Amino acid sequence: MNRWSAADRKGTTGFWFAVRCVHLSLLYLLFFASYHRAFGESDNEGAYKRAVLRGQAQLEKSYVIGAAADRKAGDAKAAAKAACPEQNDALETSAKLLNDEAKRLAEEAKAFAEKALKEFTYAETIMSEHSEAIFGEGLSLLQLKEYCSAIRKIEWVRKAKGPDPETTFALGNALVNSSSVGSPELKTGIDLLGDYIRRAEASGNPQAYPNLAIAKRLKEEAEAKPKQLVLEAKRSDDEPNLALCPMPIPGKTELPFTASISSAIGYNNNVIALGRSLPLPNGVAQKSSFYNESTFALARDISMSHPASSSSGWLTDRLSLRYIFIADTFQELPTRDRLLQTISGSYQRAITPKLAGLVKISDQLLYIDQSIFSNVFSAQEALVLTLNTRWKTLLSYYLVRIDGFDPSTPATDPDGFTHRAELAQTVALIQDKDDLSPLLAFTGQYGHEWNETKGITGRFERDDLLGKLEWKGFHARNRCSFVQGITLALSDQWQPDRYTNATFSSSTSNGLFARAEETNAVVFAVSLTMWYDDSIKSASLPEGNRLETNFSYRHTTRDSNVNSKTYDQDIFLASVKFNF
Amino acid sequence: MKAIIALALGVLISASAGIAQDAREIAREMGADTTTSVSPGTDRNGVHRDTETSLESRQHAPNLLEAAQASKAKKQSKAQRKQLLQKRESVLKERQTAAEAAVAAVKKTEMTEKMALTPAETAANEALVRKKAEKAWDVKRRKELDKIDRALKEGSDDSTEVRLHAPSLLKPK
Repeated sequence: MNRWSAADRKGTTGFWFAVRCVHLSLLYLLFFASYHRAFGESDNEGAYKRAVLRGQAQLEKSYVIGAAADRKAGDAKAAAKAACPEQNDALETSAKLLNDEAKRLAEEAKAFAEKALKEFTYAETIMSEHSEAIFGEGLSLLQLKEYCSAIRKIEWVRKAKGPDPETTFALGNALVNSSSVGSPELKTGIDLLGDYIRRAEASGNPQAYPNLAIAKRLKEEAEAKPKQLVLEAKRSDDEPNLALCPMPIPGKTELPFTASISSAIGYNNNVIALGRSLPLPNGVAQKSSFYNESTFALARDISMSHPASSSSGWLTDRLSLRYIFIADTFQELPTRDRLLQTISGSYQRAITPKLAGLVKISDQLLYIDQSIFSNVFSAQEALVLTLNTRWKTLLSYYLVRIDGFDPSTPATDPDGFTHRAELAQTVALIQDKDDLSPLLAFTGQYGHEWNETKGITGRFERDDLLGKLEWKGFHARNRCSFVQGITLALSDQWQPDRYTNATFSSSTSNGLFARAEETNAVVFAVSLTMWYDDSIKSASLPEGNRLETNFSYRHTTRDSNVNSKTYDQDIFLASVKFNF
Repeated sequence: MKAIIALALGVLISASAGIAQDAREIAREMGADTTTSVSPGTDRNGVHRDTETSLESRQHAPNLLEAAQASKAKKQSKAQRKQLLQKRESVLKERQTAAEAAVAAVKKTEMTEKMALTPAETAANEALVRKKAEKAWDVKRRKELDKIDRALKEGSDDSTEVRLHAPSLLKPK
């Protein structure tokens, strides 16, 4: 039985018609959506391809100009080398001009590599799942000598699409350029380059491997590195003061000086050096305090050379300049706030391949509680004997002029000269087996001082004995490691002072007696250098680290025959330093 | 070591006797004592970098390697050099031949047209023709000669230049 009437059927048809219309509309929408999607994707693909090709063209330009820059640098090196045996002004000028030209070309090559990087980064934003753009970024970063970022990109590509000859070469290139002797990265880099060379030679079509010649040379040089390091160490061992000719061109730093700022938090449990079992002075609530130490420093080291008079070759000279500003602000004892400004300059000139003369002058201005407290000027003259890379002796004489600005009586006038004779000896007890750097070093120092102050109470004689062990627990062998070095140091300094004049009276005897005391200071310190950056690597900052943290603990004990002069003091200090 | 024993409670008869030491002690506490060549602990402010650190023989990796694409100034082999010199000689000969051919052509014209020229005029004319021919040759082939000269000077030919090459990132489908 037909339960539906004609009208019903008509209505049903209308209903189905409506459903069909909706269906068609949906299909239409779907079609358009997919058409637009397809159209959009093709647009993206086109933009992606164009960006990658543009990047590739910029990179190729960078390679061409970079090669020209390297050729010029090579010519400059050859000219400088030819000018070496006897100073040849014409050749030196020619080397300088060639170097300038090489620098200009290198900058140009860098600019093209940066452009290429931009194009590849843009391509990556369009189609992030494609690996060509990321490999292009890796190559551009490699050309910009940003090896660590380049390694990350290339490794990503190798993971995503499997290793191929060009990524093998690029990764090998980045690894051997960013690691040093004794590192697993250097070995991996050599293996990768070897793999690329083997494949190229086995292919029977070396033209398909355009970087074959460079791969061969890079591998050769990387494999020769340990031998070269041993040769260099031997040369330094035999004649430590001999200068390389031509002198290596110093790295380009962002500023003419290496600058650093550091901030530290410290705790001093006896800021006022209060005598043992003595009550606090009036108006002073406590002797301990947390404090902040802020430092700003500028440093510049300039290496020079001069012809040796006794033999052929050149000897090294070094000029070092420093400015250091340190401010300590005490949380609980603001009256002890202090500010120290130091300016110093030293010049070391080699006399023979093992002996050098050093002159260092410095001036230190100390403010306490915003008032000038003292000025210390010192002049050091020293003979520096460096027998080899493990043994160094320093024999010094210091003339120190001290002027105090606190109120004093004629008897306590601190103004005057201090003389100090000092012998310092450093020995590298253990050297690294790969790169021959000192791992464990011992420094011993003996100093004898006597002074001539205007006031008689401050005249004394002092012996100063210091022993220090320094252990380099870790040093990175590749620039990609964030922590570049960890050094631990432990030192003990002992200073017995004998005052010349009897100016103290004792409650147990009738006569006056002379003050005598012993100070012992033990210091334990840990230093971490971090974040390698080639652009700040210089003679003043040989490790090229942007960041540095230091932790130190100092325990000082003073025993004296004057009770008020005895004290104990502990200082903890944790600092972070940023170099730029 | 510790020879001095506190005798008794000392009575200070003068105010401050130790300002000189104090200044140096404070500087030492702050890690910047310049009246000694070795720092206790680590030299955190670099005050003694000139007197303390001299035993460093290690060189960081970047110093050991030059740029990846630095082309080594390869010395040409004797055979390569000889080949280049021969090529240069033949190119120069071609230049000379071209000039002589031009002069000969002018001479021929003079003879066929029976021009009456003094020897001086003839010489000047020939020199002019030779110069013109050489100039024309230079316009066409000078670059080739320059290339050989450059290769001889630099010790390497352009075709043997070693530099990095970017791989073709987009493979043709």
